[in-house]
Amino acid sequence: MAKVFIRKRELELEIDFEEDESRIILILDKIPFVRYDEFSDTYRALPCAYPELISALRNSGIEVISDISSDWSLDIDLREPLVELRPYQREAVEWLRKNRFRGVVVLPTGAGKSLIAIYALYLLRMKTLIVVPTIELMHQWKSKIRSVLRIRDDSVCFWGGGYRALCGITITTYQGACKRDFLVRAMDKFGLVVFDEVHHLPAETYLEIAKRLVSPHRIGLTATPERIDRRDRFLPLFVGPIHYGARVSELVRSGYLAEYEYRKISTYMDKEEWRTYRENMRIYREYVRSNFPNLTGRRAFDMVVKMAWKDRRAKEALEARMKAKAIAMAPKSKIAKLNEILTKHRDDKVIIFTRLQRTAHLISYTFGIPVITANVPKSIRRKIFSLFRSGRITKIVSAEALDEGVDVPDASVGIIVSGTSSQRQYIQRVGRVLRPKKKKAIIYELVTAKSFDEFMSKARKGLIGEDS
Amino acid sequence: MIPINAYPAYIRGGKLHLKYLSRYPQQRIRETIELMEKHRGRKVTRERLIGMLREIFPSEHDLRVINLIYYSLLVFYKLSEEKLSFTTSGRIRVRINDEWDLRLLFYQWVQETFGGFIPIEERESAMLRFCEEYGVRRDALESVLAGGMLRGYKLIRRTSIVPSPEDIIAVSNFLLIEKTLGLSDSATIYFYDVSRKGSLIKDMIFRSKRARLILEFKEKNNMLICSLSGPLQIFKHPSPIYGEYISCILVGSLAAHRKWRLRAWVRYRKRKALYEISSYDSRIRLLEPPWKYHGKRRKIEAFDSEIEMKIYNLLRRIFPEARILRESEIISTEDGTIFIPDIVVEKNNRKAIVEIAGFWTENYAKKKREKLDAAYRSGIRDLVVVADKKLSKHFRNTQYPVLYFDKSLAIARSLRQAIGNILTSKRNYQTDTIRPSK
Repeated sequence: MAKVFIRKRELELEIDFEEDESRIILILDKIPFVRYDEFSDTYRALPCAYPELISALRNSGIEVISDISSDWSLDIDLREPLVELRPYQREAVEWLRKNRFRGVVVLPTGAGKSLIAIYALYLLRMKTLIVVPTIELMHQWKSKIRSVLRIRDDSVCFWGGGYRALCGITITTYQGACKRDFLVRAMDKFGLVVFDEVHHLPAETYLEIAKRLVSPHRIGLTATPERIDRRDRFLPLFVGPIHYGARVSELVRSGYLAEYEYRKISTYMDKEEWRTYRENMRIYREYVRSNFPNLTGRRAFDMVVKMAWKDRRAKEALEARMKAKAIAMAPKSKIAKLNEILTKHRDDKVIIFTRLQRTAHLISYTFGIPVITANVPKSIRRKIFSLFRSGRITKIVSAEALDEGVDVPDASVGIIVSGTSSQRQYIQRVGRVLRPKKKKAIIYELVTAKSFDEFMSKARKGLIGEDS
Repeated sequence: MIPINAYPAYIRGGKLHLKYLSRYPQQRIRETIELMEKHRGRKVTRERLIGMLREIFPSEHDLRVINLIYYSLLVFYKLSEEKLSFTTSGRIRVRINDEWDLRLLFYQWVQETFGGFIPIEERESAMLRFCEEYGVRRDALESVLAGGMLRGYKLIRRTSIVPSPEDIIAVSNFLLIEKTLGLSDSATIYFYDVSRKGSLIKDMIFRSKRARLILEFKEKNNMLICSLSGPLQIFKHPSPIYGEYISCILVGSLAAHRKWRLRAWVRYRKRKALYEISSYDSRIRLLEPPWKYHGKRRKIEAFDSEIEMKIYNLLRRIFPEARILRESEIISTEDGTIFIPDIVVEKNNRKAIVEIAGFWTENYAKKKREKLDAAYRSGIRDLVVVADKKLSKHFRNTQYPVLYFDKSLAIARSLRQAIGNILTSKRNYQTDTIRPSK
């Protein structure tokens, strides 16, 4: 009888065989991500091809001898989850079950996507890896799993953020999981992988996580699967088909998400700011006009960036644009307006979002509000965040660090001081305050009139194409 | 290895070019050393130092060059952090260990006093009140809230003598080539007039195998061509670790040999470019590794397989007082083949050889058995084989102990006993043992 041997080899699978070679070669050639390696005279495969590889060979009556572990049964007792699924969550779990627990579930922020994945874990009872974008989310997932499945603290462990442990339920970050060090150890350890905020996965380095794990069951969770670089096309290939669940409006109607009100507030630059803004934009525009007369918008900007390292004028133009942008994003009038809004919402939990770290620090300095940016040490971020969750701090300012994933159950006011043109960022930011609550949520957007802050605001709401 | 913001490189015509420090007058480099000496023993921050270095090179707009100078200087100097720790002296006394303690104290006070934020019109009085209540200096509080540091960094010299401009240039050249190789997919070095080829080849084979890189050698007219590429994969993982391994293996050889030429394919800013340099190039006339002045070379800690790593760690745990060496010896066996034991456990001048037979094809198992039998016949008696349970039928009736493992790897007790027996016996193996060069 023909035999195929499969073993782990430096983040890949090495395949060799004895007897009936031509038949085996024909089978292997049909499987995606399996290739012949001249150097070692064996076949090599990406670990994600393993389930297909095994079934193709076994269906052809070939004996497979492998050192890949396929015993993924969870060695802890799971009790039936305490929380009951909402109808749209039940529908998503059913859909996943039909797809052999492979697929991407798209639901609005705050709709309880994580509960769907925890239910899948409960139904499969398999060793599970959960990949999340931030360390804060690792801790949130742990407490959610513990409270829903009523398991012991040591049944869930972390890889990343100072921890390095693999167990039945392991939570890690995209940053930690894409490293060789982790993948070598985790390749065949998990039967189920959950990718939280799965729109991060298609990034070139993060996609390695999906490629290098043999896990047959894969669940992706997101509110915004689309990516500007269109790499979301990899999701069906490496995770599974996409399932669009209930929309925001439906969930608000049925009371699963908070009702919200959107208020756009226009602010204006003062004379001095306006003069400096115009002067700096003039420098930039003149450079573009004289060097790239046929280009506008994003394309012109990309060319200026390309030239900046060798052309001094390009560098100056770029600096001028940055200066203008900084002024437009945080003119004095925005700070004054922010003062008014904060006074109005003194008793509410407020999240302030900014585009630049500098603006976040300025707001923190002016108002004495804790700031969370990438520069703040992780332990301090966690501390500030836990103070915010427990209500011992009610205002927080963040430069993109709280844009997504972070669960803030009772924040009812979101103030967008500045942001990018990304629709995804906008949707995620709005989602931060939509968790169901008695009060109506309010989202303020401060926009500097007659500047490209206004343009960005329109772009993120889909009124203008992002390339223009 | 220097960070990317200290790597002044650019691509032109498909080739990678570097901005070497040799293009600056030595007087300028001397000024940077004088600057460091002037601030030696004083409190200074990294930002301040870089700012002062920029003033020495006013016409250099590429900040990466300044950063490169800074990192080259850091081979000889270091910023030693001073701990901030004090107790507030006001009505309320609180222990403050760093800036963040003070910030968090302030934020919580703002929450309790003002409900989460200080209205602009009350900011001045709020600051005064906090400083009075806690006995904190106003300027210190303002500085911390603005992101400043109260802690100081003391500049100290690591070496006993003051470095010369040549030292700085030599180290910077090394750091640049090291980083270039660190970003490379493949590299070829042409060594000319190599006196000890054997030891150079052995050393490279050892290190590249351990790093999971592909190594090829060719010899041509008194020239040794050594090509390294990585990783040993068909579906390449974009980990920077393989480039770092290439760098780790090759860069030391460059500094140790007089005549060579280097060609490397480098990935930089999402583009692939060719980097070429030779020892004849006047720009890198000076080339010295940092470890000439201080510190240790980086070791490659990659393992052949996961099981080898696990057994290595297990041995370290059960024999904490012994030296656990990986592939440390080359042993010629009686049939003329070479046997490189996976692990050697050494204690009180006694050695136990541990050979691992991981899971693979039946053909592999047969060959492994033949090799181990030949080693035994050559006089290697202090041998313990750790084999995958699936290979058990190939290791029946051996003259040496074989321990079988499955995925639970529960062999600690039997491994302790088998190796313990060897380490406490008086016998010692006699073989033609060659140690690889350092």
